[in-house]
Amino acid sequence: MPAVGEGFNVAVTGSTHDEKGMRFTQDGMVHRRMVGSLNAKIFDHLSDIVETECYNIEDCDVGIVSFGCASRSVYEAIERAEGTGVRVGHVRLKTIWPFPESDVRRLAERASKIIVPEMNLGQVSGEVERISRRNVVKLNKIGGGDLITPEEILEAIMDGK
Amino acid sequence: MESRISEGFSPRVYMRNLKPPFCPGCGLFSLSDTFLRAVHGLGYVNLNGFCFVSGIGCASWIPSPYYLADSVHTLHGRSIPVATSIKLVRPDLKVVVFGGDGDIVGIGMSHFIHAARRNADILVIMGNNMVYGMTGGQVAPTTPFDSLTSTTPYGSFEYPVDSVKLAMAAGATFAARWTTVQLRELEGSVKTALQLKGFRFIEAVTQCPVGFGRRTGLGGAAEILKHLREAAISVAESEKLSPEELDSKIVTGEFHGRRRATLVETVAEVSRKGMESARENRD
Repeated sequence: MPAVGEGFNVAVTGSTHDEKGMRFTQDGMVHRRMVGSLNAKIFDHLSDIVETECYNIEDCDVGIVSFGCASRSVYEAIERAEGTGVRVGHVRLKTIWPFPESDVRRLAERASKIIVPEMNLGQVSGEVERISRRNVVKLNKIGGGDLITPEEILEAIMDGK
Repeated sequence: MESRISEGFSPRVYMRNLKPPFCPGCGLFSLSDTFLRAVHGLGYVNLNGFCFVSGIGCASWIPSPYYLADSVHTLHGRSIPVATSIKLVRPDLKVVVFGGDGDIVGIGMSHFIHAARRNADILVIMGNNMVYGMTGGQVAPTTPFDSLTSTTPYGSFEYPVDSVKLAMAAGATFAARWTTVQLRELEGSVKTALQLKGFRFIEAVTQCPVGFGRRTGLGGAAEILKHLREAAISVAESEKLSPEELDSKIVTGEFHGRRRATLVETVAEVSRKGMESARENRD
């Protein structure tokens, strides 16, 4: 697409626009077409957009799905769990939407339970439950900037072992 | 004296062949035409070399996509930072922002102040209809005190902002205010502003018969224009009036600020210094 100042008279707009870039905010059909095409653009390029970091997901008893700062505690907890012989698989989500369904599904094939530590009251855990159809352990913490500790995650890993 | 109808001027030359979006009687027709008339008067046969940036609101629709030019239609209130960046990347372009009062001094007010403070090389043209016209006539930061609007049925209880004073206080190079009854003066200010560097601001007080006149009881386009003509006074006249008397007046005229290095120049200078220092450290 040409940039401004190249003599092409480009009309850039964030509002509803047609294929030629002309704004049509009053036309429902134009809006449906535009949103449909934006959505299709994302879902046609999932492999370019969705990013995850997977660890041991093919060979584990317990799975963890995490994102953001909780992941640091997960690294430490996995190291300690492995010291006692428990194999843990980990999917760290770098992209939340579109949700990395295939990696979570692969993790669920092996893991009997999936722990989802989140610095909120439980947002991604529902998505993991929907996709994995496994026993999902919610581990939530909010307030005061207190992080989820490796001990808390380790405890959840070892629970029932 | 220059002829009122500039020779060979037609706004269509500078516009895409689209149906204009404004309500009958809207002041933005006059603002758009006057801007293009000034462009024509300066000898530009087309809008190549201009880049128009706008936000959300009726006035933001003046250039986008109606002008046959590069136009970037951004988020509500964010036209000024986008315009500033475009100018920094392409200092050769003439970057002009169009926006309404809600866009420029409502949600975008801090950008407006900072752009003036930085002396960003852009021209901001604000159509001030004194209300949020597009969304149904809600009270705005520019609504005169005690006006009836759709959200202030017993009269607005806030004092309006003086955008031109604000721009000058923040460090603008040039600011002007005219009403849509003073189109020749407005055209002159656009011409002046287009030939200056640094942050330039033009406020056009416009009539909004649908969002403002109907709600405030001021009436249709003709009645509001009559009101604007009566309320408009020159800077010299304003100096004889008390602040209380000025409340019902619109001070019109041009204001020139300090000529300082513009943002394009100060950024170029600091990047030169940075490169020099990096070279010294390497050697």
